[in-house]
Amino acid sequence: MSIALLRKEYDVIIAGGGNSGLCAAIRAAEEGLKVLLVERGGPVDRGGNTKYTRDVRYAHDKADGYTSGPYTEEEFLTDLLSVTGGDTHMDLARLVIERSHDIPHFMVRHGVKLQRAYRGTLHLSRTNAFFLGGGRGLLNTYYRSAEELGIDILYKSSVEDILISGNMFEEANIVTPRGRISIKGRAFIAASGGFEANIEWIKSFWGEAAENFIVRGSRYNDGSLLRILMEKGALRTGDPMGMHAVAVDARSPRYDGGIVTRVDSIPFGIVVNIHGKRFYDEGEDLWPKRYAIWGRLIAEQPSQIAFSIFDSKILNLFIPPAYPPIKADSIEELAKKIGIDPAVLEKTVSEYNSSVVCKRFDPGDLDECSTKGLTPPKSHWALKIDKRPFYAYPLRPGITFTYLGLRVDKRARVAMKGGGFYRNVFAAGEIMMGNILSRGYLGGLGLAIGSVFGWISGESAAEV
Amino acid sequence: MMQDLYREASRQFIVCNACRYCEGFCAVFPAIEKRLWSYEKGYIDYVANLCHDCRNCFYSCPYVYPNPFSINIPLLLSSIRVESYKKYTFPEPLARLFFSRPLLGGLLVTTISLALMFLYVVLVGDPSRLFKEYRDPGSFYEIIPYWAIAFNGMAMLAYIITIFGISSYRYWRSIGGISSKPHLGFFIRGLWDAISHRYFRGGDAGCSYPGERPKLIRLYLHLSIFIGLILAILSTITAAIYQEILGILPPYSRSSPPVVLGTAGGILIIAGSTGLLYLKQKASKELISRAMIDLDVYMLALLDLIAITGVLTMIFRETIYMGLIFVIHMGLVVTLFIIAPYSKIIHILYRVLSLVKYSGEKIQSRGT
Repeated sequence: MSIALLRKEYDVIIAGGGNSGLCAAIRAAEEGLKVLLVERGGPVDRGGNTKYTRDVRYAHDKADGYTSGPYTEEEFLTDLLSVTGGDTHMDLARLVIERSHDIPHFMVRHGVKLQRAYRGTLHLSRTNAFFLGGGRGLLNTYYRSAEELGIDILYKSSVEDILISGNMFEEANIVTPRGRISIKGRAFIAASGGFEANIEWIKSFWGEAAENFIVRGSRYNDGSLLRILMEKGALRTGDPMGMHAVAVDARSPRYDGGIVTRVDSIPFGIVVNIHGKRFYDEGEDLWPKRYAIWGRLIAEQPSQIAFSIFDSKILNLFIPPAYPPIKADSIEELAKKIGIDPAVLEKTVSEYNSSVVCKRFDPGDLDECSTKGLTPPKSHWALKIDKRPFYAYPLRPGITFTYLGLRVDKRARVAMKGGGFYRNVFAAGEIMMGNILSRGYLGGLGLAIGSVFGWISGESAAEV
Repeated sequence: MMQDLYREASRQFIVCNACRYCEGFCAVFPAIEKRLWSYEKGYIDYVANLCHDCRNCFYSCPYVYPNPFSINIPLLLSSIRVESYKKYTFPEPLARLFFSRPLLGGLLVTTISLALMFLYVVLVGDPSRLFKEYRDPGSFYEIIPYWAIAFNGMAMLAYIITIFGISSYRYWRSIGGISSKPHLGFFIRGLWDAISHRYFRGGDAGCSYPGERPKLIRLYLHLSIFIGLILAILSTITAAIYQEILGILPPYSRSSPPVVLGTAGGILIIAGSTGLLYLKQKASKELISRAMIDLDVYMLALLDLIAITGVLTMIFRETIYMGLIFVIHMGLVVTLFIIAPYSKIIHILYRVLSLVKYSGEKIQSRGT
């Protein structure tokens, strides 16, 4: 979109062209609004974290061709409450779950191809629908829809400042590759994601530890708009240390590692910190229910590093990440290679091995292999580490997105610090996910919240 | 260089296997997922020849440049396909020569074939027969005698079958065949996946060719050439039946099976090859190896010219121009026969064999 062709004023200006921004833009355009979408990335790397997604969680009363069975609203809510420990805004959580029914229909109506999940990485086929081609396929389809609906799109651009008077948004200052422009808007939607790529900001909550975090998500999510809105008086919500973070390979690129850096060997072996000690039950529950806690667990370890240790018995039980494991013929040699005191690691492994009681091993379900008298225990999939060669994956916390965000209501209106809501400022996606997620994560929930709040903010913009 | 190519394939396959977002598009990704930790050369060749250059994976990939993983499966696999054409096509030194310089080799064979054809007409018999009108049944065999056409045709067919047979055997052995008991069902299913153009559909989305927006146009154009070639073969067979069994000599009436089939086939080949050439120049050159572009362009142009001269022969068959057009047509057909094993035609062989292996592996894994 050339700057010369832009209007002076739009019905709604949307910052962020990921799933939630696109859902907002498409809904608003369907309501007849003239929409400007401002996207940080270019045509190849557009769409923020959406390009690292692949499936969406949604409530459905029966198997529907995209899923293998029913997933009721009650069950969805129970799952959400179990990961957040009940720390959520119930009205918003219920709203997302209620409207999540429509997600596959919305997707299909706009040209997205949903597939039968016959071999999803997370085995979530009853609860989640998988789209053909993953997140970038989804983005390509939505961007085509947006273009067909006449939505103006500015690539490689970002909202640098906004003009607010009282409780009304008036104007956005946008930096584009061809210079800075000011555009008036009758409404404004913030859909620009979290601040996971802003290490300095994360440091203000986590301290120097944040230097050792790896950003799985988009390098563009630096939270600049979130900060501007908070400075202008928007009310914040969510735990500032809260984040969706998993264990990733320590050798991963600093940004944009996405799915391929995630290490899934954890439940089948043991995890030790830099001192060679175990620190958490690796087999606490099914991996899809536990993978999302390991980022934070490792973030709390010394030097924010840990190692998944396993032997050749389990090599074919998990999907290999993008890097090969470190390999050795003895635990001693392995310890030397990963920089742990060999005597300590040998002791940890032998203590673990001698406590293993294994009656029935089942990699696909909660089995009857656990440790006896070990602290911390390993509750499932406890097999002795004794068949050479031995392997290790070095692990770091890999942040997908942060939970600190803007407080919103059921109409997606952004709350003000002094009380009340802005009349025409709305938020959708990761920038407001802290309203619902305080800790933990459910696969495919990010897209569900983004889709529903995207629609709501688009609809609310039409009511301004 | 070749070592590096296979090492790079392993690297990219491991990233794809860790991601798996593309598994719904085609056979390539499920085949990659069959292995977990390493990929040997034969297996990489097998996967590369499953790829139909549909490109959905590239436009859906979050790991394309500028991402540090820098994944580009279409470019990688097209480079490996050319390597596999060199490696398995018999005899290897000849294959290496032709597949390393596809345009040069192609133009050389074309020039030599046309030159020999014209030398024959000029040196053997009266050269003026090139510009005569032929109306009586069988009279145009004065230009090139029927026995010469039939004999050389048979000889070249035998040559092609031999080379194809040896090359197939070499390829099949290297990719490891089917790990379970071979079964006719695998072969039929693999063949049908090829004939039905299943993987030109991009997992029901269409294919990102020539640009990102998924379309089915490439399927229709490729299918058009495929059906056109079958009609051309049927035209030749019916013509042989007319002459050898019914004893009727050409030219045949415009409504006779040989002419109708030949004309329809010719038009389909012209439409398909012209269309694919047009798409090819629009499509991104960053997603395909240089040698593969040359192989494609040469073969499409050759088929296009053969079909055009074939149709023109029919149109001008009662004029003095017919002789000249006919000799050019025959020269191009001879070119196609000579170069077939060392041209894009060879992709049929390795593609079908890979699809047969894939169907075998898939059926085998069912129920486990």
